[in-house]
Amino acid sequence: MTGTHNSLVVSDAAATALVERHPPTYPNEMVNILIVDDEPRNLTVLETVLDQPWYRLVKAESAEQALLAILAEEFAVLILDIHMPGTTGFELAQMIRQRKKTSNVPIIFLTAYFNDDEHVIEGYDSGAVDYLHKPINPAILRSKVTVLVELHLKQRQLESTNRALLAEVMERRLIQEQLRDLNETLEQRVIERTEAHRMAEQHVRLLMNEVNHRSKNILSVVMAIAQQTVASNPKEFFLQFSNRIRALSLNHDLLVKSYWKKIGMADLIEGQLAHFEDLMGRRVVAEGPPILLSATAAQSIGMVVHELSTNAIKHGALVSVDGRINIAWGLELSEAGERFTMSWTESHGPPVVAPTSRGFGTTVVTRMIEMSMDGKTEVLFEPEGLIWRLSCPAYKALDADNAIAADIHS
Amino acid sequence: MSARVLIVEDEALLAIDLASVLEDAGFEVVGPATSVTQALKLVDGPGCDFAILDVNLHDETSEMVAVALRKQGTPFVFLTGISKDHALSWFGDVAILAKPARSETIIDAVQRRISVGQARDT
Repeated sequence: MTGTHNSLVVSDAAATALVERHPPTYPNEMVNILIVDDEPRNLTVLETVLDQPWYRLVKAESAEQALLAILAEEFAVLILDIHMPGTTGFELAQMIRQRKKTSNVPIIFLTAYFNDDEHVIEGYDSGAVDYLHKPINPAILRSKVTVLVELHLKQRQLESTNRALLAEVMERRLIQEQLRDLNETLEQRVIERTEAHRMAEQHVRLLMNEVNHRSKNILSVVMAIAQQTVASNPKEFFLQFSNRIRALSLNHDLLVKSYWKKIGMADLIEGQLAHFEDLMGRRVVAEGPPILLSATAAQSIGMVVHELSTNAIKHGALVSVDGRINIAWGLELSEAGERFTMSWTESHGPPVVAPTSRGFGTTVVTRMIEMSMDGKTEVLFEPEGLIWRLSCPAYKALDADNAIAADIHS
Repeated sequence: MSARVLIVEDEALLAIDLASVLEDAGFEVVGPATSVTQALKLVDGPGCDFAILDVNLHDETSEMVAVALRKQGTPFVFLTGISKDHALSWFGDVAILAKPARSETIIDAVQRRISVGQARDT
């Protein structure tokens, strides 16, 4: 401090009273104020004047120290003594103004009363520059600093509000994007679900058509059986008809169990001869390799087995207590390719008498199975017992999955 | 001479029943054929005056048989469990008998069409 006055501060009770009528509001954060004077004593005085709990005063005794402080921190107000040895307050202000980051920081110059510094100060175009004559009035300095600090705080608040707003805008944009993504996903899912639903519906319709077709077919078969049964034996129509329908129904259980695809030959025989349960393996023996029949073959062979067993009970081997039936099947290689063969051999029954007329049962075990499986049958009324044989192309009898069946059974 | 009726039906029991119904009514049965190949052989070989065609024959349909019969000018009817089948749309004017069909319905259908055909021939 190289001014004309020894004292930095004068007492002015009136001014103090005027200014301090509006006490500043207490901010919730510390405010940095830089005070620059080459005279340490003056710095101490300024410190005393500006003693507020929310002011953090940073002292600098030279322009160089001031610059270092400004680089390190943000300040609400700079209070610069103009007359300092070396770099003056003016020169320091110039440097501060040139830095973009600090170009708007308000400056209060401290000047000697009789100096023409004022003119220089007025030359500054920035409104953020003020000056005080020494000796300064503490109340006025406090008042000026308060105004500038409030300005600084408002600006800081504005900036933070701005930042918050910007963050909110960004967040909203992000949420909107997420919402749009979610919407798209939802739409995609709706499309996928609709498609899956449509496919399922189509599948059901297809199945219904198939069920319709099959039931019409089976009803036609039932009607044909009724017609043929009544034509060949009207007296026993009901018994024969219901037995034949039951045989058909047994086959259907097996077909449904196998998804209408394939039926094991052994399962088929076992199913059709279930009523011989106590005879199976003793008087009735079924033997052959594991073979999977196609659905069509299974239905035809099932009907044949039913007719043959019915005949065996009524006229054949099962009439007598010693009678036996041997059922055998297999695959044979011949010149015409692989063939499926099956035989039904009765023995130890009552004396065999060849029937005089051909009933529906005979049609089933000969014409029907021949037509259905593109095969040949042989019916021999041997004295020992009836013998029935079938030979047909293997592909007519087998399901395409027989290789798998062989694996399972082995 | 009795009229010759071709039966194309893959269900053997139905074919046999149909054959016996037709025979009882005084017709001569050609076949029955259980596949398209068998049917076409019969159409091209011995031939027939009329045909009853089941539509679905295992994995195939009788469409090709219908085409062959149409070429020859031989009348025929379809016999099917399916009320509407796309294979039938080609033969819009051909009668479709629904399965299961009564014997009388079948005989009536055959007699009516054969007499129309014969009337046209004379």
